[in-house]
Order: sequence, then structure tokens, then C-alpha cells
Amino acid sequence: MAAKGGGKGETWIQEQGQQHKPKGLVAAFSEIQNYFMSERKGSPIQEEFFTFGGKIAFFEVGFKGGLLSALLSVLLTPFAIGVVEANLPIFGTIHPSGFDKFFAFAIALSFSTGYALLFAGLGKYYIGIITKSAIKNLLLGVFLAAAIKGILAFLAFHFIYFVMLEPQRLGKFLLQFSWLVKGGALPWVYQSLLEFRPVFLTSAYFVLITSALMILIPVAGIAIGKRKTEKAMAQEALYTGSGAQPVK
Amino acid sequence: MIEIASICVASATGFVDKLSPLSYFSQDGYAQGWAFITRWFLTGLWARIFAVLFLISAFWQGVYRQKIVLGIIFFVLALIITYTGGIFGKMFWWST
Repeated sequence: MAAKGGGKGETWIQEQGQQHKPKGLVAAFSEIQNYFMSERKGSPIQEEFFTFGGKIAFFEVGFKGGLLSALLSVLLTPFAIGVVEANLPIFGTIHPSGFDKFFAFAIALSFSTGYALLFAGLGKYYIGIITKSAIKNLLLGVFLAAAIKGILAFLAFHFIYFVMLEPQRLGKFLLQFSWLVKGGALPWVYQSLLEFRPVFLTSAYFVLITSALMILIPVAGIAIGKRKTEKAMAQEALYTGSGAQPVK
Repeated sequence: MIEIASICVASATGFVDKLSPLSYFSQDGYAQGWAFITRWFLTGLWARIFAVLFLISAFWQGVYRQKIVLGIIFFVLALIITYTGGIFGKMFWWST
């Protein structure tokens, strides 16, 4: 049996036994749009069509993408906090204005937020058994990556603060390079690192906020998008009198 | 054979010499040129304007139009303009 769908004259046919394993984010989104088109037109796809391998593939795509976004936000967070604490230069100045501080946070948050908004946009497709299942598995990967990021980054930043940058240990470590660096450079590096040290504690808590955003934004987006699509479909069915009812 | 090889080496050396910016500018002039570009693009008002525009473009392309690669490119450009001003500033303003 084949599932059929498509809009504006295009037809999408997929064999039921075929494995669906999106390789990347774009492929996963396209696959979800295909499922949606089919289920929206009232052509129900059997639940078994979405195999266990397919579910894992969607989960993997979400998880890998989530990890990439998480890594970037973890790296950028100490920069943003460092700018606010006047330890790092932004736009070439070490004395940031209010706008500069705001922009440092915007840059640190933007990749995670943008990524989360991309997933939030899937809300408009959140109907039908297969489409819902695909979106759920994709998001499960993203949420797991966000949670792992939050916990690991929290621990890592505390480790950096309490262990790696502990004044005595740091001093001993830097003294090993005394043969390499001359003049007052080593005391300057030591002092700068000690001044930068508290930034990691603040960053640990900031990362928890970004992790929460990575989960909350898609959840809110899907709740809103789903409601809008259902309303639009109900109106469409009312005015056109079409017999085709979507699978909810 | 040796003549051909020596001609090849000489022309290669000439080409490498032409690549060096110090064939055309003095060291101070070269550093000042970069300092000017750095100041103009990576610090001050223009840097802030470019950074904001690139960040907005990143969201517009990456999220709204779902052109993820283009979104990432704009994000990286915003990131470069925001944070590299200090590094380049130290490299070129100290040397001039």
C-alpha cells in the first residue's frame, strides 16, 4: 500500500515498507512536510509506516543539531559575561556601553534561540499520527542535547573555577612557562586569568537559562502553531464543505 | 637543463616577492592601512551597525526563510565583527 499526498499538482508517493532516515535537518524538515501534506488531505498513513529505525533517525538528527547549537552557546557564554564584567573587549573597546552589553547577550543567545525558533516553526505541521511522531522524536533529540549541555556545561564551568583556575594551582602551572615568556607577561596573564575567573561561575547559571530556552521555545511554538493549523483546517472544511477530514 | 631550472626558480622567487605587501608599502604604511580598515569595520558605530544588520539577517535567512547555511554565515560574520575588533586593534594599533 502506498501513501499519497502533495499540493498544486505534485504527487508524493511512498512505499510503506520503505525506511525513512533523514540524514540532516533539512531532510528531516522535508520529510515532516511530506507527512503533513499527506495527512492534511485526509489520507491517513498507518502507524507502522513510521518504523523504529525512522524514529531513531529523527531523534539522531535532533540530537546532533542540538549538540552543535549547545557547543556554540557554551563557548560564547563566557565571552558575553566577560564583556559585561569589563574583562573582554567588544567592538574594540574594553568599556562597553549599555547597547554593547545587550548585544553581547544577544549574540550569545542568538544561535540557540534561532535554532529553537526553527523547531518551533514545526508547530504548524503538528497534526496526524505520523507527523506528530516524527516531530516528537526530532524534538526529543533536541531536548536531550539541551539537557546534557546544561548539566555538562554547569559542571565544566564549576570545574574551571574551583580546580583549573584555583590561584595556587594556576600559579604553579604558569611558572612552568617562565623560561618561555620574559618580563612582566606572566604576572599579567596570572592577574588577567584571576580577574576572569568569576565569569565562569556566572556563565554556569547563564547556560542553564539557555538550556531552558532551547526546550521552552519549541514547546510554546508547537502549541501555538498546532492551534492555528487546526483552526485553519476547521474553517477550510466549513467553507469548502470538503469531506476530507484530517487525522488529528 | 640547469638553465631552465634556474629560470623557473628565479621566476618563482619573483612571483613570491610580488606577493609580499612590503614590495609595495613600507611596514608602517601597511600596518596603518590595516589599522584604518580595522577601526572602520570592527570598532565604533559602523561595527555596531554591521553587527546588528548581520544578526538580523541571520535570523531572517536562517529562521524565517529556512536557509540554514546562509543564516549560519551571517551569524559568523556578526560574531567576527563583534569580537575581533579588540584582537586586531591590539595587533595593528600597537605596531603603529
